[in-house]
Amino acid sequence: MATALAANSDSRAITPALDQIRAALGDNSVIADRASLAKYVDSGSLAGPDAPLPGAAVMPTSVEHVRALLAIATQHRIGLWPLVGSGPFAASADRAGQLVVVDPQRMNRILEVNEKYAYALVEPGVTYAQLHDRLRDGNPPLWLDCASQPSSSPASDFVNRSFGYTPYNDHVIMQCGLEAVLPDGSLVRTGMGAMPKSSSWQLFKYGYGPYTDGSFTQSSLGIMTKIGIWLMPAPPACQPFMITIPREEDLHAAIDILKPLKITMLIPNTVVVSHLLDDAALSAPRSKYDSGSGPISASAAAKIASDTNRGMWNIYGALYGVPPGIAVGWKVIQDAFSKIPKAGFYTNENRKDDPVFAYRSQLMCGVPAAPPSTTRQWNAGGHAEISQVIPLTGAHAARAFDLAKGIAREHKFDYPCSFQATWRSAFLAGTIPFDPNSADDRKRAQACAKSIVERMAKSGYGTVAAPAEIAAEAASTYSAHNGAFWNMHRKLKAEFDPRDVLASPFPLSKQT
Amino acid sequence: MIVRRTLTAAALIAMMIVGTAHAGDMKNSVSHGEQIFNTQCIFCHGQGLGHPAWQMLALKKGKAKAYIVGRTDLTPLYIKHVVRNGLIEMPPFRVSQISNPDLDALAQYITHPDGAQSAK
Amino acid sequence: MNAKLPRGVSKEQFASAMNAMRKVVGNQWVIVDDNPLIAGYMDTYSAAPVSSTAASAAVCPASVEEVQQIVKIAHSHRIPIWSIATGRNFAYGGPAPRSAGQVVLDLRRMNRVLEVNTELGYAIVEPGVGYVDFYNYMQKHKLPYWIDCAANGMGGVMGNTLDHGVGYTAYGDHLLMQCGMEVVMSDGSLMRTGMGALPNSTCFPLYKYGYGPYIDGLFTQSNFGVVTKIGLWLMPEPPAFKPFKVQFESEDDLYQATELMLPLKINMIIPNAAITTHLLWEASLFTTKHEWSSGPGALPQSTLRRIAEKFDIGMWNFYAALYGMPEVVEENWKLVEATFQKIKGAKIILGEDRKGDPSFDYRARLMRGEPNLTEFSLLNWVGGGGHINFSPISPASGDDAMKQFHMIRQVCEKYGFDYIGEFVIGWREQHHILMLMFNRYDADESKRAHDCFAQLIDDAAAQGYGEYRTNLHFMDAIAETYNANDGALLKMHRRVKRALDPAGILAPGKNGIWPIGETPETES
Repeated sequence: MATALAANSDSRAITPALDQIRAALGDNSVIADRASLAKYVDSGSLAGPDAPLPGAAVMPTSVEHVRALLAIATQHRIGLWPLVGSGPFAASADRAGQLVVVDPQRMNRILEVNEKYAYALVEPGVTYAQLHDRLRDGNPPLWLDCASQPSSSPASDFVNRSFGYTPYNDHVIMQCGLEAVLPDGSLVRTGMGAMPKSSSWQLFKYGYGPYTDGSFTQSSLGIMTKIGIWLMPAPPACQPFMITIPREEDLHAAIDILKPLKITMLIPNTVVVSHLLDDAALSAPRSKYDSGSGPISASAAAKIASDTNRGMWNIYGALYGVPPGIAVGWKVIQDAFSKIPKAGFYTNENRKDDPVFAYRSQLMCGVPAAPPSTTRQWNAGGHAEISQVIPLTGAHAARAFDLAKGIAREHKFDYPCSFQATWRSAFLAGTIPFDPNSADDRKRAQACAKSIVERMAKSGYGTVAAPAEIAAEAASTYSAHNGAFWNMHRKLKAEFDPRDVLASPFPLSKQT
Repeated sequence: MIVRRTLTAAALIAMMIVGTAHAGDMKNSVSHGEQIFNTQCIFCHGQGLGHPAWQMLALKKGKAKAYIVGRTDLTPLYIKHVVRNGLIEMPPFRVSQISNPDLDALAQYITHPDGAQSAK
Repeated sequence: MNAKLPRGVSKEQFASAMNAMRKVVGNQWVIVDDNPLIAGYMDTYSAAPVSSTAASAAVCPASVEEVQQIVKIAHSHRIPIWSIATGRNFAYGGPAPRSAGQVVLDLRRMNRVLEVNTELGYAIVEPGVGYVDFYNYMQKHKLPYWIDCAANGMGGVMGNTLDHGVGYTAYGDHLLMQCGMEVVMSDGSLMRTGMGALPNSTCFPLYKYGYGPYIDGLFTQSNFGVVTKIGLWLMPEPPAFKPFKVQFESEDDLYQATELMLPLKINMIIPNAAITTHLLWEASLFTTKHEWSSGPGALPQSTLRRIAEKFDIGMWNFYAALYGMPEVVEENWKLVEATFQKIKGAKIILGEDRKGDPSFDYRARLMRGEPNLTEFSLLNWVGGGGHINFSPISPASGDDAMKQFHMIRQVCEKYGFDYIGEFVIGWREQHHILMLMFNRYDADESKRAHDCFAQLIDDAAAQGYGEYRTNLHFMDAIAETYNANDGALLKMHRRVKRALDPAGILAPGKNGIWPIGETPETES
């Protein structure tokens, strides 16, 4: 099981370890009561409301705390689960109690905001909301590229490699310099951070020698303690747009039209091609339209479309820069998509009262924002979110959508999803909405998720995000050349973390 | 101290072993040599400023000799030695970059009397 | 019989390895050091004696399978192998290995452009694909994409990318535009990164990050594997392209020019590398030092002024381009013009103003991805071919530019060399490139160049300036300057080395990464 910790970890070791952690970090840095620990697990996950809790959680405030924590964990052979690094906590029942979550919320200092060079250096607990407050009065104004919620953090978007919605959408590209503590306690600064007195740590990514920052993403190489991110200076103008495509089968044509607009960077940001149900889930619970279970009825879908003035597909993007350029770009876009029957074209001018468009517009224009509702609330709270990556062509998009939707239908689920086009590929990001309180629903949802991962992989579409419960299955599809990719990581893990102190949903260690 | 390079005996032998094209193949060889010249040499040895080797040769030997194609005072053997060993500012070219048969053709092309006309 | 052997390798062990390798690639593709063809593997341009980096042999495989077999043989015989792609990384060591006796693994014969996809704008290339090859391929097939090449057109796509090289179009950050890698590991096994780890993946050259750690960067400026393929994204030919030059009258204008340029770069008005090049860099296209001075030492200011006047070159010369839709280019051009008009005496120049000017011409060609070697005219400045590049990184500020310019020029002049440099602004930093030119046939001058370089490393480090890339002979010295936290990052690199190449056979010493327990080899 990928969520497993070292097999030799002894559950009895956790109490003396916690005592030592309290002594080193302070009494109030440790959370061990079940009620408080419950917030670290997701009640809407595939594991359901009884998802196993971690043994404890700790909240270090400094690099020294992190070092002490690693030393204690190593000594007592307990496992650490850094939220920034390994993602939301998820572990099997036999392991969870031996794991200690490392919660970065108290490492929340904004160490530097540099307006001249447009970057920030932050600790891992700094949220978008916090950074946005700090940037609000800046001159020049600097934007944030937020991939999910204002309560999430630049550090977690980087390590999860989440894409946001501005032209700075690629968080690995826009990250510059990090600091991490390795399991042996050594403190590494990457890139120019390794040069004493360098003033270029947040200015030049590559430094000298291998470029290693990517090795800290979706990984357990170390615990990240600082991260530099580049910030986009607000352009002279930002014009979000929305294009509605009434028929589901026009996806193929829409993506083919989009393709050159993305590759030429005429549209420089992430273009979201959202299915009706995905947009619907952002605006209201399903019960508003359909009280049944299983896939939503055609009549309910039609009502959603007409109530919310949407197509079966809804394209969101934005244009940036000088107003004359935006005007030309918008004309090119409208001409191109006009080939699709009854395509509708919207900007802020003619779509003023649409909360979902307003939300997406904010994200595309550098403001962290929360949606009116979430896919989690669509149906009883259960949500298994899965993403594959596909080539940015109409044929692939149509094929991948049909396949994923078909599998969801086989398991009696809808598949609210959207395509998110970035450089030369698109994510197909979907959600299996289920009732987490129903054992049958959970079982079907899990089977559905696994089936999507496996069958999409067989068609050449690799899963790039999956619930922790099926991370091992997703990883196992990356099996080319006798599993060479994971073999390499096991070698690195054996070198840097031979005792498996750092746990991860990814199969990085030799025990998994 | 100024070090001057000389052809080593070993280098000479190596080049003799490489052999040269038969007379009947000469025309093909020259046109193949032109192709090699145009992909490997022309960026430095093309005509006019902006071509570093032409510039240096113009300074040292005068403009008439600066363009090496059609230089009948150079021998194929010499060209091949320079290509394999480099010369002052010029780096050597490895056999993985210019194969021995390609080098033969190149040397034929450069030293062929018609070369200067064939390349404008 | 071989005169040189890799350190710690016996004659018998070496001969046995060479014989085994001959069986893989054929006799003619194993070149040992009594074969005159070994001369091709010299570090032609360094200030140190070529013997200090002379290879014991070179092996030239033609396929990935052959590379795997060669690596396996090297592994079982404990032979250090130094892989090169096109081996034209001049100024940084060319095809030569880090230390004498290492065997060069020459991948130049693997020179196929495996795929260019015009629908999605990417290519997959083998290690030996040179920029000229790649450009000719695009031209031959009339593909509507540009390549992005280094100033050295003889260089190659993969080698430059792996060495963190940069080009001159809007796709100039080569590592950023790289997507997908195939690597032969030290035991001879094969690995693909990113989506390439998925059998039958549709996205190997389309999505960089895959699932699990993103590790492509590990294989750059390092020695953890032998890269045998890379994918890269291609820039669609833009509807409009407007290259331009701005000449500045005074050396002090560098300050204001840099300050004014930074916002144009950060806002991506100028999307390509913004270059400010010094007088002599330009002048070497038209003249040589010899024509202005017969004595030793750097040229005095008065002579620099005369050169500037005679050839109508600025003391600094700025080059960049605008790309995109014509309407946007014109709008942005107004902004660029207004910006540079703030500098007294600045002369703004477009292509039509400079027909037939080889310096404008080659820059414009580089900015549209057309390989050339015009910049090698620099080698004629003093003659004798020697050159090494000193390339520190700093913030793209006027203060840093002036400080570096004065500091480096002072050191150069102390050792009797002209300052020939340029500043290249990328995302937020600037690469300062000093071309240290010397006559490599003059032992005294070579020694002075070597010493000058060594002092530059120390002086720069004292100010917090580190180099991004370097010549073989200075790899350790520069690695040692990145020594924050007790050298934690270099220690980490060495541990990655131990994990992935426990026998320490792949390119020992590359960028200071020696196998743990092995000390750097001293210069002979």
